[in-house]
Amino acid sequence: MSRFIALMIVVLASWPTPRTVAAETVDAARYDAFWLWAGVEPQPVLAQAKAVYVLQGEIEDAAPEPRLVSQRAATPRIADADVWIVYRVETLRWTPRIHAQLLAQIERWRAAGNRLVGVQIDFDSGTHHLDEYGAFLRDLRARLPKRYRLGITGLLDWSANGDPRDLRALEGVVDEVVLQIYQGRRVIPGYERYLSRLGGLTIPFRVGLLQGGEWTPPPSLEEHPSFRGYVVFLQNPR
Amino acid sequence: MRKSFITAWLIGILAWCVSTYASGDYGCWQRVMAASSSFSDCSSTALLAPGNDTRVNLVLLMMDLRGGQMGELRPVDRAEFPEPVVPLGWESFSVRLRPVPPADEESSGLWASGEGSACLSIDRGQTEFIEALNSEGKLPEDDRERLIKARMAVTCNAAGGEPAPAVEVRSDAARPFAAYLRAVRDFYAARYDASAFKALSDSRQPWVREAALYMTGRSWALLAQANGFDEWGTIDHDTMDRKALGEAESALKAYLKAYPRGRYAASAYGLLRRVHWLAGDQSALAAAYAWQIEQQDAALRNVNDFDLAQEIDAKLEPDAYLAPESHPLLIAVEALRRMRSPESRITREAVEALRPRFKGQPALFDYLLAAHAWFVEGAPARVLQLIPAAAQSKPMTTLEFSRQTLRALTLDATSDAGARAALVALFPQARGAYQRETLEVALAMYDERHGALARVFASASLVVDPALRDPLLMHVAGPDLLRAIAEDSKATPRERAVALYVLLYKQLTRGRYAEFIADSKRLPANLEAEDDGYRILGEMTALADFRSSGTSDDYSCPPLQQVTEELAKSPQSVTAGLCLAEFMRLNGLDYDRFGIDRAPAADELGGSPSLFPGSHLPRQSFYQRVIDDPKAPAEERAYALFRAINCYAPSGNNDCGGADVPVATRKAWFTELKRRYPATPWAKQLRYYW
Repeated sequence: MSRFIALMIVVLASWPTPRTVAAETVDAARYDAFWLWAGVEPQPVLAQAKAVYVLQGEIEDAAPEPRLVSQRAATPRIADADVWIVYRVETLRWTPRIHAQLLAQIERWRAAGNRLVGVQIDFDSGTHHLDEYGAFLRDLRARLPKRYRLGITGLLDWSANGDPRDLRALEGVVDEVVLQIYQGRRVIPGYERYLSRLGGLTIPFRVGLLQGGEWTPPPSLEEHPSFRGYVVFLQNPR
Repeated sequence: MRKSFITAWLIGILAWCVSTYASGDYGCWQRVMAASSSFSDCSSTALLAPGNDTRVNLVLLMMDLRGGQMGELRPVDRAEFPEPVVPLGWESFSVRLRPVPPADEESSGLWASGEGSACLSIDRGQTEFIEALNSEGKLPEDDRERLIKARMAVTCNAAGGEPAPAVEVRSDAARPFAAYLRAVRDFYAARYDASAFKALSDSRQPWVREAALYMTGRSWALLAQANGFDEWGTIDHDTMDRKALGEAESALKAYLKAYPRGRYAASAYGLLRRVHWLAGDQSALAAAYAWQIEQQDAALRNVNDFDLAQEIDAKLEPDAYLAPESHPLLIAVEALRRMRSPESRITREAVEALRPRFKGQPALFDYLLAAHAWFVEGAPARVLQLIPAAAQSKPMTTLEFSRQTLRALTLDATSDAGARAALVALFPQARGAYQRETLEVALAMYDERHGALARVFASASLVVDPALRDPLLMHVAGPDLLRAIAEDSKATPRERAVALYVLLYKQLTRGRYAEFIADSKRLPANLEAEDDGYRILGEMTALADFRSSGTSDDYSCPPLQQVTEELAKSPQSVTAGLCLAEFMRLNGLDYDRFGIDRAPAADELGGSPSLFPGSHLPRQSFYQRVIDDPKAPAEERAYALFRAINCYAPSGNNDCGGADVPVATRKAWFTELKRRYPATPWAKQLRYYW
């Protein structure tokens, strides 16, 4: 919740007045990188994927200590795409057991023949806690075998409200940020506004879109030196 | 007096700052109300409602079934600013209630909870094997030692590999164990051979006989799914081995028949559910869940009710909740889900048609009808017919709580004078999980909507959660109540700081300068303004903004106090207006960092009309006033043009509030600044307009 209060502050303060530009709808067929979340049925469009971000587990807060809960019924065997193993993270208080389980899962995915390129952490960090998150990521980075990249999902308000010193602290720690322009299954109103403020972002970033959601690319986005493309969050057909 | 006030204030602040991470639900925007008809990731309360997560409704109902498990909430770390406890999402709901697993049952080693692997049982299997050896009296000591050593050498590789070396034994008593061990070695090397276990299921050794029968079913289940998942790790019923599934089901049922309370009975029930799921047999799955829900002997349940709710959510398809084999609680959960707005898909007739499924449970069924009347039809009178008032003399079950709370909400909707008393009467027996928190929301909203806001802040108020009180101060309270709380020595220092901040913020942004001057005298004496740092409502860091000592950056301004004094005398003062705008700009008032001017929706807590007079004067309006004033001095006018143009930098979106002006106007401002005031630093500095 905290993030969204911080985020609301930016969104609503800078809520753009309605524009006449018609928003486009995200057609997954036009993209080549996808998130496959828990409970989402694989779709034919995955066949054209160059990269897939597959949710494997969730680190959830539990008593007496946080635990890693698996979200996928079996280990994937993905033939023709780069694979990012994704963890949804509720708490940063990871136990040694969680770290060990995560590393073991990564190895099981690789052993199953997946072209595993990295680990993506999906965490709801409040803007002002980026430093804490940075320390966590640095620690995780050090534990991961060198062959894997470390990615994170990003909060759109970082660029607007975050402390640039903290953002710089993530350079060299994460290899990629995917900035989501939606929250839950809803496109965040005013996303154009965030994206217009990304000028100084030096970490390679992608923009996360929602299948079937609204998307109007800001004019200069594709020229941004750190922009690396899109990732589409697949949804089950309704 | 003043000194002690400040000391108390500081202590309050320190106490509030201990926790540093948020506990709230991931990615969720709370809409605070006692019960919701629409679902979001955090719309659940203790009241059985369509907007609740189905897992929450199921666990709440199972709590009733288990009796007496109404669960104390475990404490959580509070976020740095208060968040209402309810409504909440499944994760927050369960983290405070989920039973702590016994140390030996926690997910072991390198497998996460819920991650299926044949390897999970290797340690427990070893312990039981050794225990069985130790209780077999006829076993010679050397054979026992050999077998123990051999069992301890078994490692697991679910991906396959060489099994551990075989073991030779000499005694007859050891032979069944040795044979079992051979089958186990292959099993943990991913060579699933059900027949090897099957051959031992009539062994004369009782432990081997029982374990082997169970392992026969387990092996078949593993064989069945070998090709049953696609490349994405998603189940594919078409490639599942049907014959093996049938064998697994028979073996597990044979085990449960022979050993209804056997040492692997709970696990066998769990495996049977898995077999039904693998087979895509949703009716059998619904029946198995019905059995599990109804099972009162915890020793026969392989998962706790929270993990069961999670499993059902993941594996049971919505239609199967209503299957003939299903359980009334699952039917109730699904019926409520189908009442969700906006796409409510169940008619009153369809709910009526479920009546035969609730034999012996009229209170639950009537509640479903009442929920339909309230959440779908908007027919409160019928709720009152369906649910009679009932005094509560002992802690309420989920159902009793839901019935009586819904009744109280309905009384309010029918303008019944007894509505508030009905709510208040429920507090003493609201002992179940999240019940009290849910009632607090209902009561706060009642008082908010009945012109009795002060009652929420009275000394004996039942609404105690700051997360419910803050929004009322921020969005609804008028100046008198805010002032009274700011001065109330019995209020918490934090709440006093919140009230004072809101009071001063609104006075300043609504042009009530004389009142601002008077009330800013209530600020603690030793506040120092901070340039950066994260500000938190209810803390000094936020209040200190009102002690701004002025600025000499772009445009020189005296302290805020002087600015407001000037404005109080002449509200149209050009320089003071610009300085107030500077204050807003430099202190982020445009962003309304605490959301004071963003009222929740009308149906949420804090969503009733504000009692604070006036409306927010946006920063842009101060510039426009100077631009429109032909007598404004040149420097002021140039600065106003510069700032007004900058409202739209760099993307064309207006950062300063107020209605957007057309691009043509911004262009005209730019041209005027450049042509009329070329010598000013503002004209020199500005190269574009947006």
